Amino acid sequence: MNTEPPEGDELQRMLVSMKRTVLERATPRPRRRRGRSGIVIGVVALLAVGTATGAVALTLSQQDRPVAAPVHTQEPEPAPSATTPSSAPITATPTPTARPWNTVARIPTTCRGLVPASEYGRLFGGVPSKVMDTDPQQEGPAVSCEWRESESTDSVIYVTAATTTAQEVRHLVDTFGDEPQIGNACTERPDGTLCQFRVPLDVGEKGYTLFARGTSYVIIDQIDFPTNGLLDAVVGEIWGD
Amino acid sequence: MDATTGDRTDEEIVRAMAAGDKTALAAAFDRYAATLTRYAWALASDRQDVEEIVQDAFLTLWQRAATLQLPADTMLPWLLVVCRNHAFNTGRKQARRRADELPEHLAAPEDHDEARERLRWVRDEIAALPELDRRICELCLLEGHSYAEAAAMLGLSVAAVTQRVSRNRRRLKKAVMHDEH
Repeated sequence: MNTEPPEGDELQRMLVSMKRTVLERATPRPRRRRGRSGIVIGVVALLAVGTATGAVALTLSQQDRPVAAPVHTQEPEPAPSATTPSSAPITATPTPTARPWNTVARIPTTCRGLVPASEYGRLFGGVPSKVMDTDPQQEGPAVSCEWRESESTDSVIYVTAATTTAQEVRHLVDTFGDEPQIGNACTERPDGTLCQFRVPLDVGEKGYTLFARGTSYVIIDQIDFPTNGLLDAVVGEIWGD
Repeated sequence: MDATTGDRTDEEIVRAMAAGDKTALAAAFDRYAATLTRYAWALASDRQDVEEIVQDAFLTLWQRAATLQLPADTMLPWLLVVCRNHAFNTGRKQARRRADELPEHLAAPEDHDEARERLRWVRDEIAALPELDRRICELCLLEGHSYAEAAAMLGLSVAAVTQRVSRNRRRLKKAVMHDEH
């Protein structure tokens, strides 16, 4: 703009408003205003790559200390063929096939609707869920959920599913791997694009997964909240795989 | 603007954000939002775009904190680069909408003088940065390099943020001196 930037009280009012919005929006869910991109995602290391398609199960390593995550009854899945750190594998179970994939996602309106009812207990146990903020300007249906035992716990998982535009989905994928140490964190697969990273934190381990197909995507952001086969369950539920 | 003032350094703030501490995000906003707003003011076409760009920059910081590597002292260069990228994306989308009227704008190359002009309201902040941060700003915001390219050009090894505590400042200084000939 050619005008001078605001100063004094005017600047302060602008900053207060923006700060409130930023803190409200500081969830894994990318949002847009006025139909534009507010897409932001985190990035770091490509961990696993399924060469074919199908099921992808994100598994954060089990921690030594108890976590607010449900007990898993499912056996660990076999390690993927791609290079994967042994401490916390992200396993891909390719299902070689050339079948066409449904690209029309059915985005649920509830957290429970993100996964098959039969899988919910296994994946989330009794951890409370809540729907995060919804954006009326979102170009398509979207749901973003948080599972956290209580506000005092660090263990948390966010799952977002949304339908938007092909451009926005492309932007999500393109910006996933632009940190220098990652390189290309995304893999094009017959059933969609998978981007993943994992990084150790003081409170545990953070895993971030983006899966995109057509004009829809799923983001799973988990901190010290291990799951087994969650992405597979979500993808199967919303795309009907 | 001194990143070491206040309760936490930029690095500590980034680490806290990585662990989901929203107060750290608030601290980062308090520290740099005014500067980003001034920079975005020169990039955007209207006030609403400015707000969108600045907000998106801080949300990007929040989302990437777990993996963010600050090769120098402060997060300001990184935020400015993110700000510029968001502004570019915003402008690109607007350009698509009005492509029928102004197609030539889509292919317009970035001009060095124009880039310098866009920094007109944040020159003081950049000038006050530590040397490495200032050089990163110049490489990214004036010469058009990516943040990663700038770090590489300065000979900086971007180790994980959790491992950077023991970095060798002498080596970094030497790298800058070498780069500047």
